[in-house]
Amino acid sequence: MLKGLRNIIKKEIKDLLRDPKILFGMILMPIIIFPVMGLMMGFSMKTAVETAKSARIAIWDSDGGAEAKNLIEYLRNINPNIVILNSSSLNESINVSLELGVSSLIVIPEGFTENISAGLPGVVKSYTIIRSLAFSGIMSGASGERLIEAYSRILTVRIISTRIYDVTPDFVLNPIRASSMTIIKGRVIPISPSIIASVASQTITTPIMLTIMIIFAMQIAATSIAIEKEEKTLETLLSLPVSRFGILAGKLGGTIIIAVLGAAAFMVGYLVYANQIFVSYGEDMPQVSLESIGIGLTPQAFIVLGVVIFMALLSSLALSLSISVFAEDVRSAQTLVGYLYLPLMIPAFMLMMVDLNSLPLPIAIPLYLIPYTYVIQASKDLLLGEYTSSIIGIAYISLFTLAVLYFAARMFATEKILTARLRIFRRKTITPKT
Amino acid sequence: MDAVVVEELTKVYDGVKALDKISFTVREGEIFGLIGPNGAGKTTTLRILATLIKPTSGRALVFGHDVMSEASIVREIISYLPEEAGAYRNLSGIEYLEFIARFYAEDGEAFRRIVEEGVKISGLGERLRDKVKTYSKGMKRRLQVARTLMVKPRLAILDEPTAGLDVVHAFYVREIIKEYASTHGVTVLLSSHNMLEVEYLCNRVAMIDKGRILCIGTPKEILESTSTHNLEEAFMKVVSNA
Repeated sequence: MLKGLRNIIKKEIKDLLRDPKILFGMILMPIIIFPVMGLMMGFSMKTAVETAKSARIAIWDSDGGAEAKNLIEYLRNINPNIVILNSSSLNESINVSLELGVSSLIVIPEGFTENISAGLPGVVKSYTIIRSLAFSGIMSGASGERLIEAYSRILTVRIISTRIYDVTPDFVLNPIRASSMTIIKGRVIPISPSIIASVASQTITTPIMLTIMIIFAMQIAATSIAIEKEEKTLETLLSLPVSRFGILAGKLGGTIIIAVLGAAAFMVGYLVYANQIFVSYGEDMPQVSLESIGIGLTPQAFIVLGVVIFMALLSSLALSLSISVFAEDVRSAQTLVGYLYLPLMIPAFMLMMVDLNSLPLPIAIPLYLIPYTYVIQASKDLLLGEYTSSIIGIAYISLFTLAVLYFAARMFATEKILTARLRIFRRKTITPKT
Repeated sequence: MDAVVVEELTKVYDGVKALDKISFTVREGEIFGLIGPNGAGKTTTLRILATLIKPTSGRALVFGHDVMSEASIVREIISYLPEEAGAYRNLSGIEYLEFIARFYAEDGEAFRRIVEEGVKISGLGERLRDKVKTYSKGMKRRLQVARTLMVKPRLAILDEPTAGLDVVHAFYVREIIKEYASTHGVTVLLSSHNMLEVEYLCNRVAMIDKGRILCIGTPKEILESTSTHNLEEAFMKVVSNA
């Protein structure tokens, strides 16, 4: 039995890995495509930011007063690519700006200094020239507008400190300062919940990646039986001196190994991709790690999560194998298994947003019946050190998997595996050869 | 001991009787042929003996072992070649032979012997290193015949072993079957609708049509009893008298 099992696992791995669709689609593509995508996106982000920083801005000063000069001085200090125009009209300024290829034109109209000195708002007009709808084009075009806003804040501080004597500018600008705390597992953490939410949202990738991995594995499992039918190798296999359960277990084992390889390739590719993206955003990311705020997986929790994921994978593969027994060819098997994706994805998407316990019973009960629900719930609960959902999950998925495996083994032991010929969207035929 | 004993075997698929109480025996060491047109019930009989499907009623024994209650023992002593057998496309010919050999070999030495035998029977030489997907139909069939006989089963069940092959490949396969049965004492049960092939290969034949056995005997006995010159004529006569 063991000899036959090992032989089948070995054959499955060899056969699957030599299939260009699986080798490229599941293993090489994620390793190559993700890093290339990350590199390209990182490069374009960097280029966009650099283009915006070095954008050329034209200024037409028709006021000529002291406040206008202060503004020009400030802009020159911030951006060395400032061009001062000596135009006689707005139209001329716009035409010259277009000829010079600047990204924005700042117009300081007459009366700017007079207004500010008299305690009235000074008007500055900003013309953004958009030549391309690409991210970098819009970003650099809008830089003139942002510089005026920044100067406005500096001017506010100056006005408050020179004209209002009994309060500080800081007090006027921020009369109330909210200090946000978060309590997790009874521990007070001096961090706003919005920051925790944004950091925790990064864990959203886990269920997405798990879903993708399980879908890949299910496709392989469904194909591995159907291809035996399509390539006419099944009859020979079933007549060999190996038990039907051995064949089933061998196929399951081979598929799991390929799925794990695919998942590893996916993870490596994704990590490189994420790294490239975050490097380009680097400075703006909140520097908070989940561990530093008491949310994290302990080694025990990590193992428990691993068991839950493995059990869910096993149950999905067993289900996929059982269903594909009824399919006549690979296409039908993949279509049949495709019907399982929806129930697989429902818990993934629902539980990303809400907690299972907060759902009304009529919605929660069907979710509780789907083994995959427990993976998502456990991955969230284990971060907070909660083990109950994992334990219930492992028990339920084990029972579910055993039932499915029993059904699959029964199907393998009967002639149904040879005679069931379900064709999707085609006429159902049961015409065994005599 | 008889290699195969089939008694009152009946198989019904969704109300259609594929086999209707057929009985025959195959003696140890002989080549026994089941001949009949398409849909006669040949493949169903062979599939039951290969433990792939279960009879609706009746019983079948292979070297005294019941194909239903002792299926795993039967699988140890038979080797079955389905009519449209394929091999794994992404494996090479030699890898395929090794895959099959591992199920039967007790140790490394036995494994080596089985594979060597397979290489010899296939006659594919260096082409065995190529992937099966590059093989012609004839080469694939030779690989299948090799994997069936290399394990020296007590009973080889061959379903239409030369169907669809050109003259050269068909001749090669027939010679191998004949040589193997006489040299290694392998009992062969084969099906064919090529009456001339059966006349050349088989010690005894059973004519089957519409799930019923019409006559059993050596080709010579059948020709004499029907006063015909070849099995094709004999079959037509037996069918018209049935």
